[in-house]
Amino acid sequence: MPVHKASCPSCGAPVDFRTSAALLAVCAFCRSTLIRKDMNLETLGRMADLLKDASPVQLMTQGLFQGRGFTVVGRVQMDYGQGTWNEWFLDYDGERQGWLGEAQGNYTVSQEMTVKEVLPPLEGLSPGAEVLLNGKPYEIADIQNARCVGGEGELPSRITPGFETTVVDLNGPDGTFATIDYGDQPPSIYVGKAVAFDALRLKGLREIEGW
Amino acid sequence: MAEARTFACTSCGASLTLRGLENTVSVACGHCGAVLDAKDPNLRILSKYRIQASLQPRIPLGTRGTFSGTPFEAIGFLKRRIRVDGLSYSWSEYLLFNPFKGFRWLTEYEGHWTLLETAQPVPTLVLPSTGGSYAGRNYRHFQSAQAEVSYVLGEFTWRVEVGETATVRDYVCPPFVLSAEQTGKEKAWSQGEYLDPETVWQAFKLPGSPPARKGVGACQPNPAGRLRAWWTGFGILAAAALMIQMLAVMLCANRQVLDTSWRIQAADVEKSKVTEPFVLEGRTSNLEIRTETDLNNAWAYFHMALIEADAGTAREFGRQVSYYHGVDDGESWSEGRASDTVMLGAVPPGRYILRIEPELQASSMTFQVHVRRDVPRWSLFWWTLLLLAVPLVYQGLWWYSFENRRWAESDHPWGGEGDDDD
Repeated sequence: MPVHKASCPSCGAPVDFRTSAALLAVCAFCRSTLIRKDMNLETLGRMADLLKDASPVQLMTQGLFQGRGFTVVGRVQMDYGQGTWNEWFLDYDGERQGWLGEAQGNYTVSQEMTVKEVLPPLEGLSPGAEVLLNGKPYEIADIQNARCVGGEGELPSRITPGFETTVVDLNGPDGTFATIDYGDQPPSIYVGKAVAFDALRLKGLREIEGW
Repeated sequence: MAEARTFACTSCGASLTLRGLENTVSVACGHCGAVLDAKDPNLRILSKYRIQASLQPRIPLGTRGTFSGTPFEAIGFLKRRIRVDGLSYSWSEYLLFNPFKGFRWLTEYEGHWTLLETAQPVPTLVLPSTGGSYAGRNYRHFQSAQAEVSYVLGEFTWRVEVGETATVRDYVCPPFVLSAEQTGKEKAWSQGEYLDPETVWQAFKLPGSPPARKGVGACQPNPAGRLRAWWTGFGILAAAALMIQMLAVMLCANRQVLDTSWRIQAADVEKSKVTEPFVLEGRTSNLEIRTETDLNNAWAYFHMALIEADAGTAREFGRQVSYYHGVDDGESWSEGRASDTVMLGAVPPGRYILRIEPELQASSMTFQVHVRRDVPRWSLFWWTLLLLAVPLVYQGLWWYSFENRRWAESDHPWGGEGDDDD
């Protein structure tokens, strides 16, 4: 795994960039948000603290999806009002990147996708409605508001803690799902599959006392 | 052993334990009936209900049970009830937790246990539905009801409330169940599998024995097995019997050895007829003697003897032929027939003659005698088939009676008036 080593302009602690796709990293020591500008790192301010959650996944956890190994390099924590969920940023040996959604022992692996269709405006959407994504029919399962709590590690784009967004979850053909984040302009689309814990063969998980 | 967080109940001060880590949203105190907001630093009281001390979960909260090698800890317990035709039915639900694999539901109704988890992928059945296919299984609608939470204890991943209702729709494909729970706009799908009570007791290492099962569980597997398997078994055995029969038929010589006819008058003094000698070859086998007459509203009796021509040993037997018909009150009727067939078994090879002495209740009669050697027999085959069908019929009745009792509890009882979905 290629590692680009740098040091935090704020506290001097070493900051590793494991994936070239990462635009941003959060310093593990002072929690400064660092953005890559050519070969230099620029401080954007201090990243908000994450809420303590029960996730067994952590940075550097490794796993397997469809025969390809990945390493967890970053995380965005979201709050939907009744609890939190995590989107873990994955690096597949530097070849590509993806996301591991994780909440209460349910896991999804997804990939950002561009579609040829123009997405319908959020106002017109309701559960049960059909949305075409690259010609394939997806059914809206739910629409929920969520707040970005914060992030850690490496991330492909800037995140704004406290930013309120609306996320539309859809069920697609052959057990696939899609998520449309209407907080982005234009909305970003992620397509993936629910995966059983055992199938992910996760290693380097957080130890949970008593278990 | 678990890193369980303990604190005092905001309402009564009793010691409460948190086992669901940060997943727990609300916790119900078993001492005072208060439901506390686990996400609030001050654990504010969300609601309070009257405590039912008599309601103790059979699986104590904090107990761990292992299912398919994965331990799960019981952290929450609730009872829900539905009303059908003015009667109230209630069941228990345990919330089970494993920090890596998440949550499961273990439900118990009348001694029947089901382990459920979130259905992934989400079923595409459009509600309300009479059923459909999911994950390669064909589910049929069992029951839809408005379920109300009537008792809560322990931890939950949402703000639990006594009195909250949800529409629950169950679809079964024993031992599997697919369940849709709808609250307002939100619907959640779970899929589960029936568990034997002993399996639950062993999983949690509970003392004593599980409560006896009453009736048939919605997704309890039919002990009679799958009907198709029995039909397949019957089909294979029947096909084997047929093949053996066909082989036997092919091996039979089935040869005509005699074909002769006589005409006799009632007045004849010498009625006894003797055939030409005929030779029976091959193995010891059967002999079919067919007698055809032109009797019409009359009967005849044939004293017959198969005589071994060289040794003179005889095998005597009698056959009666009678044929009557007519028209009474405009309705035609008939009785008996003008011909007869008799099968003699185990006739050794040799030279034979047939002696026939007819007794006649008619003025005259023409009769032919056809003798065939080594004729294939079907009766054993049919008996075999009938014998094979006995377990099939027995199993079918058993299967039917079980299914009948299962569906009697549903919205769609067999052979009765059922409520439609919703």
